Amino acid sequence: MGRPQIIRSRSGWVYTTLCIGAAILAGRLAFLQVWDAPKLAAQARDQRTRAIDLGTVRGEIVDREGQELAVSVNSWSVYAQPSEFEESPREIAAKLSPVLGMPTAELEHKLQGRHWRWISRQRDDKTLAPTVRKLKISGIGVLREKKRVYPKDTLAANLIGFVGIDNQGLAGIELDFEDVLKGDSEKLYIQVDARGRELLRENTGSPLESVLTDGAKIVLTLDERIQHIAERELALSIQKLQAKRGAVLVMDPSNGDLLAFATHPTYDPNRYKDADWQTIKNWAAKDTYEPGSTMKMFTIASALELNRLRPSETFACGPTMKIGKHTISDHDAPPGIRHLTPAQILEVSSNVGSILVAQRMTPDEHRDALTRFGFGRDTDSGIKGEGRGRLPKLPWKEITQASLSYGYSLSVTPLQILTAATALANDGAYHAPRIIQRILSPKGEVLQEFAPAPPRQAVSPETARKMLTMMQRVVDEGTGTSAGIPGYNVAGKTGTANKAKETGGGYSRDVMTSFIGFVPAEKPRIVVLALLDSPQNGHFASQTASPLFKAVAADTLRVLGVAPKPEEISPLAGGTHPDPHAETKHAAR
Amino acid sequence: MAEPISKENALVRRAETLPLALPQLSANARLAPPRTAPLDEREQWTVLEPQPKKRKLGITGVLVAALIANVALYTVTVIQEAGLTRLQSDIRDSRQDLVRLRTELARVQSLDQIEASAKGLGMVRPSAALYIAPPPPMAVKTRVARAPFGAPEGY
Repeated sequence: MGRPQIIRSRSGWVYTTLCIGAAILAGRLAFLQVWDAPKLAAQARDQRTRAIDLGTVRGEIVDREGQELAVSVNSWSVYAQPSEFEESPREIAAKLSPVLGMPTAELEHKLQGRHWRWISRQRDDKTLAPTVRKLKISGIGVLREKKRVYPKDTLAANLIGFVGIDNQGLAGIELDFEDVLKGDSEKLYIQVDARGRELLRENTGSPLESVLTDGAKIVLTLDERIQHIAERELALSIQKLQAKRGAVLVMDPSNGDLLAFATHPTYDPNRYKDADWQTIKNWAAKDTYEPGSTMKMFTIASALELNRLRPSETFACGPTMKIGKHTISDHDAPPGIRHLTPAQILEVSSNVGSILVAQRMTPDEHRDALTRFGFGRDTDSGIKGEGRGRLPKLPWKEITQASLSYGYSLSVTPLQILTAATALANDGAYHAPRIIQRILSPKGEVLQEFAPAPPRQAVSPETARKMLTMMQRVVDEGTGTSAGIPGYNVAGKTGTANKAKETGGGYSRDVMTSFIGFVPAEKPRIVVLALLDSPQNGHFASQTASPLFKAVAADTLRVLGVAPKPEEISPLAGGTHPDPHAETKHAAR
Repeated sequence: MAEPISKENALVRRAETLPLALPQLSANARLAPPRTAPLDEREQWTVLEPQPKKRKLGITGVLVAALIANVALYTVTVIQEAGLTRLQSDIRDSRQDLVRLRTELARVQSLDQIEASAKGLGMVRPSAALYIAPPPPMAVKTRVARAPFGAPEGY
């Protein structure tokens, strides 16, 4: 073989080898670029990017006018990593004690052990971080956290609830709307070099996009001013009457909006750890009670609706009535037979008259009518754990129907009976109570509108109007005169019910007194329930709940700008309106 | 412009330029006339002038300038990115300050506090509310509204 052939042969081998090598490389390249590409790209991305958890700012809770009821603000928390300590816990405690304002012994105790721990949390002092940093204590650091603040302190605390130390909802709306308020945790992705130093950011189309990561804002139907009035008057009444507890609920009958939802005793959600569960519990929506005589308005409305009753007819009512082995009596009834119209039955709150009216209906009809008012079921208010009350199942004994007619043998929540009564103020249309008006995004866009639920007809508009007229007599001349507000026509009904013994077996001497009022009676703007549990300085609703109603309703009407009757308005030249807080002519009577 | 290569040197020049392609030639063969096309039929060979240093320097300069521009651009981007981060942080801090101030305002506007302060100043609740009807020329349609203290701010 000549030299040229050898060269050609060798060149051939070299070229072939190079071609095979190139083919292998090309194949590998194609494998990496095509088959393995997604996995490798992800690995590369993970290696060069780092996610920063921006966290979220818990959404605010505001009243219908935008007044802040719950907000989140910056706070600073001090932590310890004992494994990094270069000094003894005693020395560190001595240095930290003046800065944190904590006793050295307590701090030293907290610094013991080996694991990471919080030393002091959610402090408002903005200078805490630089001050602690200046101390240059290895193993001690400061983190910025969000702290929930309730600027109105006790206002609507039972409804709003509170959050725990880690900003998780623990009670009330804070718990029920946890997902909405908390928001989604936002992450910011940055590119880092081999040492983890930040190079460039990703996913930051707009600088604001990575900043606005708040939870949504909840707008309530409550009005801070009316809530304040309700809480103030309730607290005064409870103090004056030595009652165990009480509630005042104010509702707009046109749409079911709750304007005030006050319970007392209450607590400060900023210091919820000091409160006991009985105080924290939203009992006005959860606890049930026997309503007593306020139930009579529903008995008469049901009979009217079923045409078993004419407003002008009279019922012969004795002071007592025997049903089976039970004897039912009227309070303070004169001896002999009284001939009472349905309006007079309400006016004097006659148990016997109420039973006679109820007996015009079959138990089926009676129960069905009460169900239309929402008794025995949820009000659909959206409050979690809301009580349903108890409406006895059929068949009813005679005594069951009789006692139901004047408010025993069934139980209701305060919210439930107020909502039922509101139907009478709204031409017979029952609106589910509304507490949340809307949910707004952090940018102010409406995320969810809680429109008033479509009403359902509990009774006809005629029946509702007749009932309001009848109940106006209760305030003008009957048991509810102390609820009269000068300048306005008020309709309403008192209720005084003995409380069942908690141990069972009969009733105690304690009572639940209540008043449900509608004002102005011609076209009610508000319906108010005033409820007092076990008042000691007063036994009847006329002495306890009615004045409470009056105080709340009079100020609420002013807040809402509801003008009094034209004859009560003085010309600009002079004249005064009678004092709404003074004893009225009705009360004097 | 390159000068044409003389006939005598053509073979030598070719051998120099393509040493591997030339087989070993005997002495006679060297004297023999080349088995190539006549000179006038062949393509005229030219000698390329060596590239001047200036051009090399120019190219290098352009490359260095591009590199520096790239580094400068990168630096500016990083600085602006840092500025953006700082602005984001400022926005966040400002918003938090706003929330804190709003919270303080809400506290101060709390009706409980206002009432307590008023009582502390010796004020009492009015004994009567005066409702007045203005004479017709003054009567204008108004609606009851509260001051926009609590109007929710947009972001």
